[in-house]
Amino acid sequence: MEPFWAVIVGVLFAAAVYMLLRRHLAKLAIGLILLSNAANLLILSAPGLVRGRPDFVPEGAQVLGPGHADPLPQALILTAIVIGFGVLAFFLALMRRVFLEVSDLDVEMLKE
Amino acid sequence: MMLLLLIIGGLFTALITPVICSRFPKKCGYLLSLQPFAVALYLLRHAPSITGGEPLRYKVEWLPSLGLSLSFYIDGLALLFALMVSIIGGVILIYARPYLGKHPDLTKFYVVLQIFISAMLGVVCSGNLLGLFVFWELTGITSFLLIGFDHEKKSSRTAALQALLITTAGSLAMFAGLLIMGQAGGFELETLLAGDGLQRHSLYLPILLLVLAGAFTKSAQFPFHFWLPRAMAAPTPISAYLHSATMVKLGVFLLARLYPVLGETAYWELLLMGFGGATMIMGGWRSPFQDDLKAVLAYSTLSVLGMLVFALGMGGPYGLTAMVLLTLAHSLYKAPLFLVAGNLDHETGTRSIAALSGLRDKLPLTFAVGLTASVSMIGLPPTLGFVSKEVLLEAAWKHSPLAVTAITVTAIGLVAAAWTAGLKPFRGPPKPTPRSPHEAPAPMWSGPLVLALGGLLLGAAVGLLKPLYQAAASAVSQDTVAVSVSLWHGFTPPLFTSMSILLMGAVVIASFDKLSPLMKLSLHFDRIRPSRIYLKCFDALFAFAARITRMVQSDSLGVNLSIILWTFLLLGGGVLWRLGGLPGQVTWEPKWLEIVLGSLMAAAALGAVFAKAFMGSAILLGMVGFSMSAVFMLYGAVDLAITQIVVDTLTVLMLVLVVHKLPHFKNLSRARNKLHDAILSISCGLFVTLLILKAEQVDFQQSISVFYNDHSVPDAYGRNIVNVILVDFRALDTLGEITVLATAAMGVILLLRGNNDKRGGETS
Repeated sequence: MEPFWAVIVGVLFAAAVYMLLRRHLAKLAIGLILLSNAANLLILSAPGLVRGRPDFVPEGAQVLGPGHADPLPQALILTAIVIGFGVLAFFLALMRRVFLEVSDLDVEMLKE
Repeated sequence: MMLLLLIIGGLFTALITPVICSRFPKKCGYLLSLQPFAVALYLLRHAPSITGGEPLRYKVEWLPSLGLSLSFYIDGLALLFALMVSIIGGVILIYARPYLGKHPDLTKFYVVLQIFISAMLGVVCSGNLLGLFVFWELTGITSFLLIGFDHEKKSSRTAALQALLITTAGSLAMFAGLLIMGQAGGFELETLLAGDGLQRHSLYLPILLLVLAGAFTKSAQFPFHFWLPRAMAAPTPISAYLHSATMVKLGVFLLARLYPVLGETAYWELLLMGFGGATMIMGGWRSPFQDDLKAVLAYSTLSVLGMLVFALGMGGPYGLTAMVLLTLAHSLYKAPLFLVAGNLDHETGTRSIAALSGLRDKLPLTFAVGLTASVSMIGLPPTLGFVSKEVLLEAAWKHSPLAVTAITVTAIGLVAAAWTAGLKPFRGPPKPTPRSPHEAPAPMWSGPLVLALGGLLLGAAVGLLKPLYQAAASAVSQDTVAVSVSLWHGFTPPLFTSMSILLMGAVVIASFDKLSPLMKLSLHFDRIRPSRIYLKCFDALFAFAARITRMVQSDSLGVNLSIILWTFLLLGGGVLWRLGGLPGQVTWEPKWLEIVLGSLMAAAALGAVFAKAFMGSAILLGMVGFSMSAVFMLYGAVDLAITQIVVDTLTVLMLVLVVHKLPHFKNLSRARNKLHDAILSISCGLFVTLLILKAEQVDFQQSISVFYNDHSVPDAYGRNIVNVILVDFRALDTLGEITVLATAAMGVILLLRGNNDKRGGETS
């Protein structure tokens, strides 16, 4: 199934990049959200996907048998989700502040 | 051990200098001078055994695998330089206290100066090429700080930067040379010197050129000479010490040190005599016609540095003995002359030769210093200046008529310079000066007087110096040099040359007023002066940097991002191409659940892009997030699914709560920009897809997940491996993550506070 997800990741990336290149700050926020989802999906699918077998070591066993999902990308994504959320919260608060101060959200206008 | 303590002792006394300076504001110069004087005493105590052929050694292994050790090796040459550094250093420390007076940065001055003394001792006593280089750089940095001591003046700052740039550029080249040399002959000085030399090594010429680059920039040889006159922006004691008596001689020291390894070849002779000769003639004839007293001394210093390099180029027993004696003689007359200039500047408020006149009665003791020192500089018997000049001429007569001519021409200029700097300000009728002059305080004339008298008496009793100069010259050549010097050699060619130099010098002094317009005129002809080239390069560098910055650093976010993304595509494409081009045949079996989820996600993402209002986008983004959560669930990433649901709910809430007041999207971009952005973003998406497909076909190293799987239950007692990784194996990462979140939360609170529309809720 990985090739399919590769295409989906590509679509998400394209959408995210397009939004990041816009001049409206709110569109930048949308781009940011899409980009972090795309990146997470990329990391998840990179080592290969295994359906429906979470990484829980069963009672009595010492190690997990073969044929399970890779735990490392999951740990990375977990961190990424949370950090991405923090960044987004900050960005939105900043954007709101900017709007209250100058009543404009055009990136090119904010330069001056 | 004692040796180590004494050499780097200045670094420790520098630490307690602020305490000493505030406790004993009047006496701190004397107290601080104890350290260098202790070094001198220690060296003098061991001098008989060192000159007797038993060098002092001290060695600590530092990085044996790199050939790096902290080792000291004091033979005759090192002894001579170390004695000069420590004794003159002590005099300067005492002199500086009244000279700087109530200067607010006095403590800083002393701290840097002491670090410099240690660095100097480190260079001259170093027994290892790499150690030598480290101390060498330290002298450059301290010199930079001291030239720029008057940091509120722009001219001081530019002079300091110029000196630093030129000398470090040279020392960088020198470092390369030392590294090659170390590879070829060993980094320890003793093994290197005891070896066969590198004169017939295949890389001899590159090594020589690189080392010369370092030595010539440090010792201000033409065409790198121009930083030295400008370095006179430093306080006068610094000019006397760093830029005349000690640091600028390091280049000469290095060449002398490496004489057995690199010397006595045709290249060596040509390069050293060529550049040294150009420097000495240029400096010697520019010197007397300067108006600034310190500039006179600076150019004459250049001239002598050229002479020393010239003498090393000639080589041979007489050339080396002349080099050793001239080094000593120059330090003993030039440092006092600088300090005389300092006294005159301090007492009258001006350094202009034209304004200084008839000060003999007002500053009698300073006059005594100036007189004694200039007699040695002119080279009248029985001074050390006379003796060293005789030996130099002897060496020149043994070498070639051309060498005799070059030295004669230079020496005539120096006679005039000595008269201008040391005697002229005291002669004639007094003229009004900015300050009314009176004799300088005792510390400001006593030390210089001792040095100047040293130059006089050691010349008269030159026999006393015999063990020292013979040991130093022998250390340079690594062979016994038994040239014996005395005041009277009989009627020899050098004596007649010397006498004609004096006569010609007298003629130049007598016709000074006629010559000086001519000299000023000649300055207009040299359009391509090295200092101009330096300035041009310096400006061009900044202009170049500004252009590059303008090109790649736009103030528009969109443009910057586009540049980054295109670069990413280009470089990434290169990597893809190197890995064998496009991915091969892809196979997959469709599963409907995934296809539905993925299509939903893609559709929602595209919808969010094209939505007309922010609210619509927010809802569609929520859909993307929940689909993600479902995907995580599907592939067994339970923790991720839970987190994603929580975060996504909050994100949508945040979007709705915070941004619902925002106006509708406006069409801000032009059609052309939109097209460009569309092409760029589709390329990026396509490229990422290709990258993932390719990644699956390239073999990477084995995942480290195996380790986590093996140790999760036995070592960390956790059955949920993802959780164990987060809170145990990579707990510090998680701590960092929490810190980021906390910082973001604080930022959010600060941004939301301070306006009347408090909504909050997004800090969660």
